[in-house]
Amino acid sequence: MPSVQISPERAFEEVRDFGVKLQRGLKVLGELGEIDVGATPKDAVYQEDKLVLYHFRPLAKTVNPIPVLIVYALVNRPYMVDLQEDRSIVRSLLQGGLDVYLIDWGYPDAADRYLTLDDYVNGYLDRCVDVLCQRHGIPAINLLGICQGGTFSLCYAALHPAKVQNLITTVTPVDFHAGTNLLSLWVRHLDVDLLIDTLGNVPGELLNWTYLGLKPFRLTGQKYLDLVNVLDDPVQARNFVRMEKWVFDSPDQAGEAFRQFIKDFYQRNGLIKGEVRIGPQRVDLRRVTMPVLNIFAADDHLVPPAASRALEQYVGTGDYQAIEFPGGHIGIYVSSKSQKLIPPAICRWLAERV
Amino acid sequence: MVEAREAPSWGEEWIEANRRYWEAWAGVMGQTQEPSSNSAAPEWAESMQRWLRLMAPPMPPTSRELFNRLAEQGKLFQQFGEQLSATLSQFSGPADGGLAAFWKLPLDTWSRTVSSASVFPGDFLESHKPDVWNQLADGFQRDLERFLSVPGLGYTREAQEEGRELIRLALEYQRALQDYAGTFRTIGPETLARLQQRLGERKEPVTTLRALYDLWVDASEEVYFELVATEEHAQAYGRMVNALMALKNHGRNMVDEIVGALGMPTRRGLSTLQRRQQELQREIVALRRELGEVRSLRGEVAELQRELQALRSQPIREPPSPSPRSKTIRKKSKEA
Repeated sequence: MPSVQISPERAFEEVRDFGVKLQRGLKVLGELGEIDVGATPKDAVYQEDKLVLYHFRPLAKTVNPIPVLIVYALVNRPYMVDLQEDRSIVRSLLQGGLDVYLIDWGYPDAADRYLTLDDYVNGYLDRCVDVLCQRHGIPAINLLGICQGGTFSLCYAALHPAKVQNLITTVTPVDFHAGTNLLSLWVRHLDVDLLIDTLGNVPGELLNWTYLGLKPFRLTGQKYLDLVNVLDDPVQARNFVRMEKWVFDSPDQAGEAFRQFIKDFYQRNGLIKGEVRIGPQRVDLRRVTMPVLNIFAADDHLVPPAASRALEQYVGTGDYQAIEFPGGHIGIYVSSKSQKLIPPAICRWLAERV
Repeated sequence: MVEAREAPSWGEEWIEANRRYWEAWAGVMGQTQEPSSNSAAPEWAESMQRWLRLMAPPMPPTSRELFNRLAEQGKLFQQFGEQLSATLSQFSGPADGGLAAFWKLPLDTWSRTVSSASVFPGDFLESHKPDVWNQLADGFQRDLERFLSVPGLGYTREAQEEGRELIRLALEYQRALQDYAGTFRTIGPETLARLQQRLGERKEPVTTLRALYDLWVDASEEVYFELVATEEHAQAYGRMVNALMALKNHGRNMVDEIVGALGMPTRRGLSTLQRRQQELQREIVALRRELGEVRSLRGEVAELQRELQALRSQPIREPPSPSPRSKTIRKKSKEA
């Protein structure tokens, strides 16, 4: 039996149908207008340079007295956690009775080129934590770190353990050489000093290009053909465009912070070796003694599960839990499956540790 | 008064051209002849381009970008169908071969993405195959390197040397880029072999273009991953980026020299200012924090002074005799 049985007539019909769908879809696309992001009302409660600290307005009775501060990565934009009403991890956390804050790092420009990890972790992040502590009259808060923001949260928790009551890390790289980590492999032979000395800040476009390079055939081709099948539905088209907007909304990276992150974390794998220094202090993960909930994605192509799973070996806490989500790096926040699994698990876990 | 003629609904023109294209093609197909890129095709393509241009402006940037991507993928998929059907018409057998042009399409898309990040256009690579480059290296490049090794002379010696260094770095980058591009050379044939393997493993035949396309993407991603997850590729990538950065860095330094000589602000000077500004900002933050602590201490001191003043204003009294309870406590604490 031949492995391909496509008659010319069938092929013709399929391509013709595709053309019709594409044409209809493009018409829908042309009528979508501006795409809004961020579904939940929020207020800026603190600003410094380009950073804005947001407080989400409660959607239910707040049952947990300890607020949660979401620390997003420097790459891409934090509105991914509140992309749209039915794809909002923030909304689900609020409905679960949590008081939620979010750090928006902003878009660094040339004036921010010399921002270091010390400025981000011991500076901006620490001052945001202080704001929450003052607002709520408490000595410590709950931290929820996302991806690189999870790594920052880990560093912060190790450097300021008294200010973190509970730590949640999601798709967070810890062992940067574990698993098949393409990003880690690709930067292994880069002269990062030369890169930063030449570029100053690292363009967001360069990061986009790198991420596309992880799965070029799916991300530059197949994804768009899949879209054609649903594009005649304005709701689905709008959802897709919104996601697309987020995917390519990549801020430039402050040069010095990027330099240190790539050299110390990716190239030297210093976090698990206790060799990373942020400001004057060494980051010792054994000082992470508060309860830790580590959530990672089984099909993560950016942060392999092994890179996150390693956390258990290095933290000093006796209260460690892990959740492996059956999905990918982004799906863990925006898929309908994640909305049912992740926020309730976080709310439950925090409620047991008030 | 003559009413303004209603503008044709957008897309109408394209739909009509599309219809004519497909009808023409279907006619050819009906005669089981090779469907060429017939006379309707350019018209269709041109019409689509016009239509795209027509409707692109009013769209928000995100939609426009997506629109372009979709249109591009649509064209590729239609080419896929056209080529597959052509092959099927010719051979009436399995389409395991003869689609080399299509097999390159996903890779072409990726090449364009890659080349957009390069200082040279993607086609620049196409015209310089590694073997050709090696031949060049034997002749022209050797001469060029000999020329570059001649020491600079006279008043402009430094400028001559910088110019030569720029050429040397450009050559080095070109070589590194060729090596990097060379690592992808086998991806096409290997993907085709992988696709054939996957097709052979299937119990059911593939009956739709889309299923075949998906299999092709799976095979491509597998082969691509195996390639880019190697140390060899990582080294080639590192060499390419490092060579590019060295070239850009040198070029920027040369520009700095020129604009500095013209009395204009240089990148180096700006960088110094940025660093100092950041250092000053850190100091300001630290000072503010200390100032806050000092203010807090001042408040505490003022409070203590008030308490002291209050205590001083009270008459001195005899200390009360210790109660039996406090004795017990003291005793307990001693025991402890």
